[in-house]
Amino acid sequence: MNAPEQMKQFRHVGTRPVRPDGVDKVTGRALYSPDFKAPGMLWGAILRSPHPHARIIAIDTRQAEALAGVKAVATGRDLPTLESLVMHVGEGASDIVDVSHNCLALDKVLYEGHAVAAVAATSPEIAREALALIEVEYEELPFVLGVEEALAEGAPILHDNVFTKGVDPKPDKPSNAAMRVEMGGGDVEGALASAAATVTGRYSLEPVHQGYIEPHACVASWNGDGQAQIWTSSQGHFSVRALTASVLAMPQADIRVTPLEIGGGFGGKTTIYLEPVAMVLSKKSGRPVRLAMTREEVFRATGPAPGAVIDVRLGAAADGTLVAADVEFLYHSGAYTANDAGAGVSSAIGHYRIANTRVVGVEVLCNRPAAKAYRAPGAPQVNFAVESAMDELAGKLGIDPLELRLKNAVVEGDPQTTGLPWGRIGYVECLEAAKAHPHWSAPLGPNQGRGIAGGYWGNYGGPSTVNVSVAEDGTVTVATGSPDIGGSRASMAIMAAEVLDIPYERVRAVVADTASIGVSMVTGGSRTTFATGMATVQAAEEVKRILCERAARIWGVAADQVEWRSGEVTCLDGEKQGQVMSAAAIAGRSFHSGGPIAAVAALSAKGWLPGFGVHICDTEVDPETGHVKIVRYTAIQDVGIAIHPDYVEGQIQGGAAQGIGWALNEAYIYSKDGKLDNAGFLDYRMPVASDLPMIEAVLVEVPNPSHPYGVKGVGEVPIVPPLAAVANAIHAAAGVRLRDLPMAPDRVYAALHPEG
Amino acid sequence: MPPFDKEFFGEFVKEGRLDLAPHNLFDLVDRLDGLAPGFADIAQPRVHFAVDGVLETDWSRDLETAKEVIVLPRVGGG
Repeated sequence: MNAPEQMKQFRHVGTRPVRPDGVDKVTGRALYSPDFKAPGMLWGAILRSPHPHARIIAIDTRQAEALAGVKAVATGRDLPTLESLVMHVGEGASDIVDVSHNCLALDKVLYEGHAVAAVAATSPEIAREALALIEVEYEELPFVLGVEEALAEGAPILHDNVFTKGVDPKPDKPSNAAMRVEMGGGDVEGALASAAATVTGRYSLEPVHQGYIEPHACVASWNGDGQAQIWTSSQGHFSVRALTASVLAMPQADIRVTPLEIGGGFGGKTTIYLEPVAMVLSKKSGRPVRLAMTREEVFRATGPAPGAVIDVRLGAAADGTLVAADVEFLYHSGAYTANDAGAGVSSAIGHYRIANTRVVGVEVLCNRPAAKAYRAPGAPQVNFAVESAMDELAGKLGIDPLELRLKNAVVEGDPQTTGLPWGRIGYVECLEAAKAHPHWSAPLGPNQGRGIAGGYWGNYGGPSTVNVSVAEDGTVTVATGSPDIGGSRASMAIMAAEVLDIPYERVRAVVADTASIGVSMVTGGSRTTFATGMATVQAAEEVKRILCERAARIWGVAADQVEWRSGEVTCLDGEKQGQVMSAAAIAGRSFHSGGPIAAVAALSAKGWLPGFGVHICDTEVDPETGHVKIVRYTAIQDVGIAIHPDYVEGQIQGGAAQGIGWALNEAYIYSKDGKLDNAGFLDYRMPVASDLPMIEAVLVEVPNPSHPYGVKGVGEVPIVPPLAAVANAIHAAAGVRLRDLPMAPDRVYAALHPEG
Repeated sequence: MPPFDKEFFGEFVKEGRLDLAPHNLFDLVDRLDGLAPGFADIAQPRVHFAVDGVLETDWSRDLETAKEVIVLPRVGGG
């Protein structure tokens, strides 16, 4: 399925070359953060709270410090006292005081697994032994896990300095409602009252894990001269530097962060947990210190995607025209403010033209780990409710669910929930592609049903820095500050090769450390191929200009008498007309014609456009057990222009698989005493390859006119529609509407057999 | 302007609008901070501005010919 308006033909863009980091990764040579070692390195370990909510009365570390082999012990008292400062932290705003207290608790622990103290020792065994010698006196406090319970009168309040933001007048009492966001307009109640058909539903989801395989880990070395190095994997090493420096109240330039390969992040590695602690231990011990989480620690102490309770009301005229939408949701924020409410409000109903809308989102603090970004943060939860309700509405109206969506789908110029007009979007194109796809009309077997859902994510641009340089032999290095998560080295090399019109193999893309390249924002928000790609194109264009200028000087002709053709410079002037000079020939003489050839592009990219997706899901429901099998799955997405289609398809397949897991199996399960019961992949059930069919990814290309190659972000959209697509398919297969995730066999069985 | 209208500008906002004539978005932030002290502290981490319907990352852009600025919650990604 391809571009309705392909902008131009490309030599490299849209091809599928081998990724430059591929061999190292499949042969085990790639260096991930838990593998990294520094000479003289100590082994760190962290003591974590056994209580979901407690005051720290005293910490006695003397026995641990006295243990042979222990070189340093740290508590929250070893971190500087900070003034409140709201920073943009990876993918959202956080107060740096909260970031610090999340790394090491100071006066209170706010969830089971909250870090309380840390040790560094000459072996991991001694470090663990030392943890057992630290005595912490707690005063246990009442705790609260659920969002509705957290807002109830008399609920334990997590922070006495949090007053609900987004309400007027400002509250005079602290609350677990950290923020309220409301958007919309028109007469919702009036439109619902006069609608030909309405649907109402309450939906719920539990927090879920991003599912990255590599645990959080780092090595920090704080030298005697005040300079420090950190080796870590993250979605943004500049963000790691900024946050760590802020927590430790030190200059950013005194910390050099070297990015290691990342074994998955999906939003979960856009913040810090370990780095300031490793730094303090290193400073105290005078040696490099490694901290690496166990899988259990990852589950207990890092941020999941928020769970939610969502109320939806939709109304439509008899012909299917949507007339009103009323959506109100509560999102788990966990121990600290998470900033997903605004995204949820923006992403709830903006894919449909609706005259009367009201969308309200509230972030609710509770005694769980602070929620963090997970692919399209804030969007899948509310989309599950809205797209399930759309399916129900189609049933009431007797209209095909795809046709109902097509009738109301937004196009360029229609207003978003925020009031902004949509740019060149491709939702209708995706729905049309779904309608035309053989999957949509394929026959179904016994106990099978087909569901469809659509959704979108806003994407982002933002700051990126790229350095393109030419070696003396004419080969090209593209250095970026963007960690490569989804194949961005290959994509950057493709775009540079496209600009320079040279073979892909002559371009090497690398991810540079914080001392070797200018600042770049995190790899997240589906921004890297768009924004860092834009910087790559800009820097490569400048390199091309320099190469032309140098050739003109070498030939002794005017700069406008040369032209870049097929990866080399052609002379247009006089007796030299038609002569060519290769990049290698020019670069080989660069030291004597003005110096090395390189260009830096540093920009804050704008003009990004959202991505839209439509997913078709076939399920087979076992009436005897309630087990749901995904028998066929097609994910259709407007991707702008796919720079490297393999990696675009991979993003779509991965996002769909994660969404299916969220729909069917995944959930953080807490015991009555506030402790996580399934802190590992044996009990936290993510889908594996044998659970899923081949997910067919269909690329619809509606180019972004603001990007040189038409790029739109692709990584986040594919997790948005699956939750409702699966729910709608279960309804079609078994006639039961499930509104609570996960739709695990026990819940499906209970719905099928309400008599018990 | 949600959620900033209620969080900061309740008494100044009429039907969700404020009439100001800043020369650029930095100037707008300063003027908004003048109305509601504290807004400037959260503007960079929490706010997106859209100028005449298009999200703008360059806050030094001249607003002389702009008709409308929409103040939005900043949304990142995962």
